[in-house]
Amino acid sequence: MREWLRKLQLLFRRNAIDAELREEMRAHIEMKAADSGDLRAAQRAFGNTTRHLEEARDVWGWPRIEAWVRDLRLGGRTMVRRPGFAAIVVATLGLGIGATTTVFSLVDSVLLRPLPYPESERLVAVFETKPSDSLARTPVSPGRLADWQELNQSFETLAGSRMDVLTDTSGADAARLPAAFVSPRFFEVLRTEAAMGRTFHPDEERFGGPAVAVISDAFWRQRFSASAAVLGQTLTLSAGRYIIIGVMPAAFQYPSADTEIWVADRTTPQVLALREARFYHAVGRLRTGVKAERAEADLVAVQADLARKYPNTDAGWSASVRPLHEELTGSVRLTLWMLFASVSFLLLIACANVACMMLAKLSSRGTEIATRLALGASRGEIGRQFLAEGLLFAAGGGTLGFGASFLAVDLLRAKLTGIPRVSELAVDWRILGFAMAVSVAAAVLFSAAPGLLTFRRDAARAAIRGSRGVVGGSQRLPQILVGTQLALAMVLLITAGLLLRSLATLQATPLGFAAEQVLTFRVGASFAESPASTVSRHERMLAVLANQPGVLSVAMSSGLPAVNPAWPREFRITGEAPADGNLQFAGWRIVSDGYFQTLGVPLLAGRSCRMSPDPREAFELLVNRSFADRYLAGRDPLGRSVEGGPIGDGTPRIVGVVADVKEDGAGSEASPVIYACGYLRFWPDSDILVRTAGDPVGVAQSVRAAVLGLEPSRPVYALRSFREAVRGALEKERFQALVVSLFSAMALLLAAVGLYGVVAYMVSQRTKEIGVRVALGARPGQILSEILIKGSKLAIGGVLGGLTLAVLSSRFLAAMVYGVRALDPASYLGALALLLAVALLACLLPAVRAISTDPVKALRE
Amino acid sequence: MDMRTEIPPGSLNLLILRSLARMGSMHGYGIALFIQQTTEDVLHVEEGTLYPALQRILLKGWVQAEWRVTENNRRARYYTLTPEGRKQLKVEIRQFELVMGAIRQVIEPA
Repeated sequence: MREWLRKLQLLFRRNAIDAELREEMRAHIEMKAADSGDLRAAQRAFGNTTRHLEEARDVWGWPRIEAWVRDLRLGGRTMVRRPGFAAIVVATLGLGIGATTTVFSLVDSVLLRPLPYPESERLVAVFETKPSDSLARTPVSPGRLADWQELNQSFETLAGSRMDVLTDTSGADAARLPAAFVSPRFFEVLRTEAAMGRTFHPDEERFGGPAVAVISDAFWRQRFSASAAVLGQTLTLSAGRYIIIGVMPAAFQYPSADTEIWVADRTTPQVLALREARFYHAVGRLRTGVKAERAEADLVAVQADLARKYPNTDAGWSASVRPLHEELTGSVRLTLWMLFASVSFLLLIACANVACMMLAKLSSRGTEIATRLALGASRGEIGRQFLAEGLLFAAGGGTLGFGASFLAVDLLRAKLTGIPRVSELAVDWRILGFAMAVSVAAAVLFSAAPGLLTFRRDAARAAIRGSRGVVGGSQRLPQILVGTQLALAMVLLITAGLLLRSLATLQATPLGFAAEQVLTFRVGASFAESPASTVSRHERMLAVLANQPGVLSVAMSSGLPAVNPAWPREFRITGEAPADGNLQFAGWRIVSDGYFQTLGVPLLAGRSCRMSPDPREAFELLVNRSFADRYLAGRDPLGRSVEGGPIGDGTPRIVGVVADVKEDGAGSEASPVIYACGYLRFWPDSDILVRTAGDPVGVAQSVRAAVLGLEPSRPVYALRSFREAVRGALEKERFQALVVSLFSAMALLLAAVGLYGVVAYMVSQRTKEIGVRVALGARPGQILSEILIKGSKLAIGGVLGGLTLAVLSSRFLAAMVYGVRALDPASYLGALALLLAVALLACLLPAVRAISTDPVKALRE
Repeated sequence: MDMRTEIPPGSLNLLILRSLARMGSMHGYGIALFIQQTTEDVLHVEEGTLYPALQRILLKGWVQAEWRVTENNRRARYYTLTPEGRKQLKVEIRQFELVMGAIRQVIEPA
């Protein structure tokens, strides 16, 4: 131990110690020479001073560590001497590591990591269903949820919540506040306590309890500047005055990431008795060991009992239970795994590429290695040097990749707001380590191992002969690596082609309406508003907007066409028996009378509708062509009455037929739709559509000012051109097409570099031969085509492999594309042509260089 | 027959420590010369092994080193045994005798 300490102290006196040793040895030789009178003999007898010095130095030095430092320095110098090579290797590694880390972090944050609640695997989403009606997975009515909670055997607790928007008028400007109205035991189900303060007591959750609220971490920071004095403060909201009793942790984002405030619903006994008002998104915590399927069977049985107890309201209804994690992330599962598969391909390509480059470099250093072996270097020492170089590259690539993935993750978190749980996105350290380990392994393994395996002691002779072919001689390994790269790049290119073509098809699909020159927005309002007040408010707003300069027409709608799907509901045409005895479904949209004019939807028969603010007057209906063709083929739809819509009492009649509109989005076929024409009395916060004379963005500010002039206490939000809203509906498709295109471009570049490297090496090995042949009069064209054929063989091998892989994976891709077949010839041919063209270029460059070399120079080399 | 022979491995430390114990302080060349003369030219200290060994001993704290001037007015580094070095010398001698005794038992006829 003391010895070790002394060594450490000496670490800083190295030069002095060296000098002392040197002087001591010189004194030794001189004294010996003085005794014998023969300086030369004394020197000879003493031997190699430097060697002795080194050995003595090793005693108090750190020989192992110093050797590593020396090798790292040497590696550093090698990198500096060939900056181009080093840059390419580091960039390739960085690309592979960065892209893989980013995508896997996304997959991990969204799909793999458990939800941020204790024992979250026991959380499930619970729905009501109507088995006769395959579409329905509806929210749960509060009264039924209370019954289920009481009668089931499988759940520890059940709770529900509904989202509403409150308007916060405590500040200077009215602010829109997304609020969750929660049932009793809501926080108990999620087992999350407030980060500060507390959540609700049971007496605060009941009807008649005090008005208290729990706020989100984000709202607390933004509105109260993260002040600890927030507890006990009062918020003046559109629903009344609430006292803040707690602040939730930032990770708590249920029922939605934008929830800013949680208030107890304090449901009235009347609403609890209303078994047909289904508005709770229910969440349950299963008892330990109970599976979702068993819990579902349990609830189904409970509900069957309830159906006997309440035949009027509960008959025909059942229950569905699904793991909460699956419910929240199911929509992006396929996309994320597809991206992960793509990025894995990219990482493989990057590794194969680095391996190729390392092999090529190794062979160019054959002479050096052979010389060192001949001079007595051990294999271990040479291996250590390669390892040191590999580590340097890995450190560079790792740093680059790490930095890149940090930036990318920040960018994705900000941009990908459409993806669930994306706010939880963070760089995953494990996968960063994994990607780095794989890349380092590729670099080190392929630089050191083949060399050490194939070098022989007699390699020195080869070195003396000047031959470069010290390495195993075989080019098979690099060829396999390049073939693999080409194959994987081919698969990525085909995938990108399919996704791009699918996206283009979606974007080019006529939606059946004119989205240009339409502005859309919403005005914050709560479900708590009375229908009469909503109607008069909507009436005033439509009138004011219609008179704005630059506005041609105005409409309201329960959801934007091609952005929010129409509500599917069953219906019956009075006096018509359903064709095959089954239930009939149509999408329902409640719209104001200006809807068709504003969107430019042509009227095919009958007249457009009229609406009345009087709730006693029945709605007038318009149906689309699909509806008329499917349900009233060959008969006149006009004047028929329809039952079953979401519009309350009265018998609405069909007054006209309009052309088909892709209400459910570009990716769905136009289906039967019923437009109920009237005021949206039960939907206070509906979408507003404005057709403008010029650029819709130009009048956006005056429209906003007009609405605020009318209702200064209401926030205007989601103000954008309709074109933009429609674009936003394809965000996921655009994102996946963009990312895969980017990956495939990188893959193509890497594979091309790999192919170039192998062909260039092949050519460099034959420089002499080519020189001789050119000198003897061989035609350049012949040599050129020879090289091209060799390169093409490699390329074609890779392409065939890629095609096979792509066809095998096409079934998986079929689910992700719209309007193109999974074996789309254009995508396949396009990828093929692109890959072959790039491959040809990669072969052509070294080939042209070979034949343009001066034969005399080539022979001398 | 040349009687010069290699110093048995492991015993160089012993020889150096013993030389210093007998002669007080000495420089490296002096140590080499002393061993050679005392053993009547049988043991020759290789210079290449002498200095690493001295460094090792120095590092262990068994000797101290200081620069002094020789009788011929030359600067040289003189080594002196420390108390720890004396203890170590005893240990090394005991070990050496143990080994020698063992070897003798093997080579002497029973």
